[in-house]
Parts: sequence; structure tokens; C-alpha cells
Amino acid sequence: MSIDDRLRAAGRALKDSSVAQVDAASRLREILRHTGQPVAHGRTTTLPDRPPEPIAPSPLPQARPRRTPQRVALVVNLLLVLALGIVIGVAATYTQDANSGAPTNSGAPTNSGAPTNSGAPTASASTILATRTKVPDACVETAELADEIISRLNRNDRDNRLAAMLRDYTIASQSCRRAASP
Amino acid sequence: MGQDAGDRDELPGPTPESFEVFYLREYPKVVGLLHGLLGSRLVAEELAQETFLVAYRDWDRISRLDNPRAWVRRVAINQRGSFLRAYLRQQTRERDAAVCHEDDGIKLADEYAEVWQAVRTLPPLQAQVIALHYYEDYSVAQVAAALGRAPGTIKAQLHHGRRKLARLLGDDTNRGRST
Repeated sequence: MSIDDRLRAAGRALKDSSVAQVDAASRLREILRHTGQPVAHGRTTTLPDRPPEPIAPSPLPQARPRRTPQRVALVVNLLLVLALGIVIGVAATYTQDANSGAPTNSGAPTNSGAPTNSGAPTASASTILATRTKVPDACVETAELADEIISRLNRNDRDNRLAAMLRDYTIASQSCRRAASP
Repeated sequence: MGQDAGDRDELPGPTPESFEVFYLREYPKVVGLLHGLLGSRLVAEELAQETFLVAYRDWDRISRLDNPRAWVRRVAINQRGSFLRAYLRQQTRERDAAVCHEDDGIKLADEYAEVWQAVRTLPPLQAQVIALHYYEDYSVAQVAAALGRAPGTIKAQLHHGRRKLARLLGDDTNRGRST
């Protein structure tokens, strides 16, 4: 018998034995039970009835049902955060508008619950609008010096001129505070 | 060697068949193929089951391929390759010892079991070529397509594999026979 014939005979014998000895139906049932999904095409072959067997958990089929609720929960949470943000924003805007329209009520406590609506900030808001053109000269000078100092520090120009400007800034800042305080 | 209708590669017809029908027909044959290459029924069944699980999850697409049969065999053989590679990293010798256990096999007459034992001693590609050609009745072109190799490579592997097997099995009547 040639090697070719022996190989062919061995192949045929193995195939016949596999078909005869391998229990495909029970393994198919495992797949169907693991995934728990209908098959994409066609009819379901009738399989012999057997009592349900406990099957070792498979990672993928377990993960699948969990993923969807997780995604839904994530979306719901995001929507809740978004809605809460909109409500807070609308409430804050409404309260601010109401307060700026009635400056005489600045000292009264507000009921909106928004964190920015205490009595003092509403009063200062109206004051700022009224006094914007009356900034003390010392404060203007302080701001200009600060800009120049920051610019020099950014350029790393650390020389005597910078030291002098820092000194001038300190003096101007103190003057600004004095001028701005009531 | 004759082929039954389910073995033909001219499948499928116009309507994709159901997964169950495909599985019941092909699963035992894929187990047999893997058993021939590995020598362990347990491992062969697990690898085949993994392969069919992959097919099941994407059956809508796979059932419409020109040849779902060849697809499952290619995936099964690749899994088998991964298994062997992982094993060979641990042990370079006696590679089949890890997957061969007593009574862990499809029962075969000794003369056939001896042939498959010899096939398992071949290098992986040669063993795959021999198995697909003689177990699945694949032509050289079909083996080449299944393994993603050139037909010339498959012919050469088939030739060398047969020669080695003839030597191993004490048969030198057909050394170097071409396909």
C-alpha cells in the first residue's frame, strides 16, 4: 500500500470516526444556551430533549447583557447632569436679572438658592456699573505696571529695571488700595 | 476518494443555510481535522467549539461567504497554530506530549492512528497541508486558499510531507510523488 493510499485511508477513517463519535448536538446546545440569541438564518433544527445542564460561564455572553444597562445608566446620568446644569443656569440668570432690575433690594436675602446671589455681590455689581469710569489713577498705574512686569518675567528680563518696576508696583498697589477703600 | 454533498466547496446555494444545520454537519469533521493535527480529542473539541462560537456570533455575514466551510477550517487551524505556538514556547521537544492523553482520542484502528501520529511529527505547515489534502480532500488550490499560501508552496510542502511520512511509516514506494 503506497503512502498516498495510506494517508487517504487514514483520512477517511478519521473522518468517519469523528462523525460517529463526536456528539455535535449537545455541543450545539451549549452554544445556543451560552449566547441565548436566535440564530441569524433559517429554521432551528429539532434537537433531542435533554434536561438543562449547568454550563460553565462564558465571558462574552455574560458581558453582553451587562453592557447595555451600563450604557443606558451612563446616558441617563449625563442627561441628568445636563438638565441640572440648565436649571441652575436659568435660575441664576433669572435671579441676576431680577436683582439688577431692582437695586434697592440688594440687601435683602434671596430665595433662589443659587450660590452667586448673596446680598453683597449684587450690590457691588450695581456699584461697578456706576463707577467704572472713576477708577483711581493709582490703580490704573498698578495694572499697567503689572502688565509690564508680567511681560518682562515672561521674556526672562530679570534686570535692574524689573526690580525698579516691582518697587513702583508695590507703591502703586498700596496707593490703589488706599484710593479704592471707602 | 469520494466526497459527500456536504464536503463540496461549491457551497453555498442561493439561500444561506441555518447555523444549526451547518454546525451539526461540520463540527464533527472539524473536530476530526484538529484531532488529526493535535492528537487530543478534548483540545480538538474545545478549539472547534471556539471556532464555531466565533462563526455563530457573526453567522449573518459568514453564512453569505462563498465558502463558510473553508472559513471555519481556516479559523480552526489558526487557533490550533496559536495553541501549538504557545506550547512550543514552553517545550520545544515532545510537543504532542502535552496534548496527548490516554483515552483522550477519537478511536481509530491502530494502522490509521499510526499514520496520524506520524503526521503530528511533521512541521506545522506540512501537517496542515497533509491533513487538509487527505482528510478534507482539498485540492492544492483549495489548501493554498485555506492556508493563505501560494499553490507552489503547498505542492512543495505536500511533496516533502509525503516523503517524510513514507520514511517514518516505512513506505518508500511513492517518494516524491507529485499531486
